[in-house]
Order: sequence, then C-alpha cells, then structure tokens
Amino acid sequence: MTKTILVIEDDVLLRNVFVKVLVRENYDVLEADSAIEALQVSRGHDGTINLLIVGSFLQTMPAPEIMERLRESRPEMKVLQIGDPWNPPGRKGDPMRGATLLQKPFLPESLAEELKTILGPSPDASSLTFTGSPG
Amino acid sequence: MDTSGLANLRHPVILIVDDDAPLRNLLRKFLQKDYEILSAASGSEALELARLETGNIDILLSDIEMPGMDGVSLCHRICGERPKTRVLLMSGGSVVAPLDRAGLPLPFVAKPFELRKVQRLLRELLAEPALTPEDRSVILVVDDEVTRREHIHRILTENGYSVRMASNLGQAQMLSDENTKIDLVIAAVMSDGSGVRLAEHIDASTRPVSTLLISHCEPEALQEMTGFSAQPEYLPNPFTPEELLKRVGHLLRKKDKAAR
Repeated sequence: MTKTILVIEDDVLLRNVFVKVLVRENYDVLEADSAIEALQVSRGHDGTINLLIVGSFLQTMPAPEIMERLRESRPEMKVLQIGDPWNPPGRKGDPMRGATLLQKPFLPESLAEELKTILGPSPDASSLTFTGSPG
Repeated sequence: MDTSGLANLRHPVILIVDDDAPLRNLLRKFLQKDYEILSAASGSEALELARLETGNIDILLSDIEMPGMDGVSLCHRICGERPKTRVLLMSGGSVVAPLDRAGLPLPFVAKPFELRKVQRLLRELLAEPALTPEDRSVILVVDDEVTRREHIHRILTENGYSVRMASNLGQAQMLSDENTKIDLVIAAVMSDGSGVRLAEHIDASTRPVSTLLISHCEPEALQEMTGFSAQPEYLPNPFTPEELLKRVGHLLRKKDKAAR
C-alpha cells in the first residue's frame, strides 16, 4: 500500500525538492505552501495521510499549531519536523511533541532514510496506482 | 539541503501553477509518471522557481485567475525569460481567450476538465516545435496563382512558419529588399517566368537566402533558364504538403548549418 505524505513548506524551492525526493521514493505526495492550504488539502483528501512533513517556521501558522489542527482529524498521522537551525521552534534543536526532528541541512538520501525509519520500507514502483477520478 | 537534483531533470518538465492546492496535487499525481513536475501556489512562487531552476521548463501549466499575479501575466514573464517554454492555461471563469505578447492566442482549457484532456493537450504541445515569434522561420511565398499561393500559405502557417506573400516580382522584390527577416523564398516560376528573375535577384544579393522554385519544368531546363552554376532548388508542381514541408525543412536546416 502506497503511503501518503503531506508536505507543508512555504519555501517553493525546498517544497519542490521534498516532493521530487518523495515521488522518487514512490510515496504519494500532497503538498501545501501554507498551513491554510494544508488544512484545505487534508479536508479534501479521503484517504489516510501517513506522515506530515513540516518546516519549523511557517509564516501563516506556527508548526506545532498546524500539527495539532491536522491531528484533530488524523490522530494516527506521524510527523517529521524539519529543523531550521536559524529559526528554531522553541529551544534550539528541540522537536515538537510527538514529532521526529530532521535538522537542516541534509541530503535527499538522509531524508529517504528517515522516511523508511518512520514509515517502514517504501513501496515498489509496481504497486503504484492512480486512484483519483478524472475530471 | 542539496538542491542540485532540481537541475537534473530527464522527462519533459511541467511547471504547475495554481492557488488551488487540491487541484495542484491532483494534476501532479496524474502527470508525474510521464513528466517531471515542479509546482507553485502563486505567480510569484512560479517566478522564483523559474529563476532558480537551471534546467528547461518545457510547459507552464497555469491557472489564469489567481490572487496576485494572474496566469496570463505570469506566462508573459516566464516566456519572456524562457522563450522555449510552451504554455497551457487553465481557466475557471468564462474569460476572453488569452493572448501572448505578440497578440497570438494562447492555448487554454476551461475548468472543470477531464484530466485526460489536459494530458492530451500537453502531449500535443510537446509534439509541436517550440517556436517563438523571434525564432520562427519567415518564408516569402511568391506566386501569381492565387489558389496555389493560399494553399502553400495554409500548409506553412499550420506548421509554425511565419509567411509573407507576394503575387508578383515587384511586390516580392520590395519585400525582400526591406530590412525584414526572410529565411527562405518559395517562388513559382509564374506565367511570365518572373520567378526565375526573382531567384536571380535574390541569389545575386548578399542575403544568405535560398529560393525554392516551383515549376512544371525539369530541373535541367530550369538551370538553363536561370543560368545558375548549380541546379536551382526545385519542387515539381503539383506537390503534396509533405513534399513541400520536407523541402522547406531541408533548406532551412542547410541555411542554419551555413550560418554556424
């Protein structure tokens, strides 16, 4: 079963790099450029969201708040927090409660490894299916 | 974080721009098997991404109505910086057909749409040669026979060439003497044989322009008529669109090679 990951990142370049790595690792990806968009995407997504990847600094809503808001409807969702040494959420290097922290800077390989640790092995490409309805 | 992966793109690259995140996600999911996808939630994000992306962006697939910069302005900006980028716009409202900077209509698809329709339009766009008004080849067609002239005009414009037309030698000389870009002349020999004189006129000038003569005559007879040292480029009349396009493509490639 393909795992679904929601990425919230307001840096467009970084968000596209995340998505590129996740697609390559055969995850289903949902992306949002802000907390508001993320709530909208989450509401519109019927299936499971296995993991939330969230930067520690979002312009529209603090990362802990968006995590809590999303977890209200998706309590099982795991969270990978991307730590930014220049914009720590609390004390430097402290992860949010219930989140795994991956500190910037990191290589795409490290991200892929971290995902495998959190979610288990990534699915084969052969098991990928498109489930969205056209139109 | 290593961002060098962004430059290392193999499939055609599509930049999806839409402020509707669920639609952006749906489009990406549907297209990511065949394309490298970049996505942006706004015009300004798209510009930032396009500025930092060192590889090609083959297609800009953008919504028209977005807060901030609209899709048409975005298209003008991106295509100004990346003339090879093709565009497919999406619109939720009943907008007037969007135009590019040269005033030519831009392809667009009305929302809601079948994803397969977008997929088909993208394939069609990629199959077309990436032409901009600047690098589109200009062909001067000189023919006194109006039906054939229109026929040639239609074949050439449908295949992305820019065409100028003249019905006689005087008009053609005026057009070819003007300081305008002409990459190739297609001339019928014409009832008074003036096509041959035009070929001579152009051959004698310094312009590196070939003339393709259309004639019932055999090439040897034409060579005698023109007095050229080599056989003139010649297309026997009647011809099929494929034959015409093949000769035109060949002559333009030859010209490009000579220019390099």
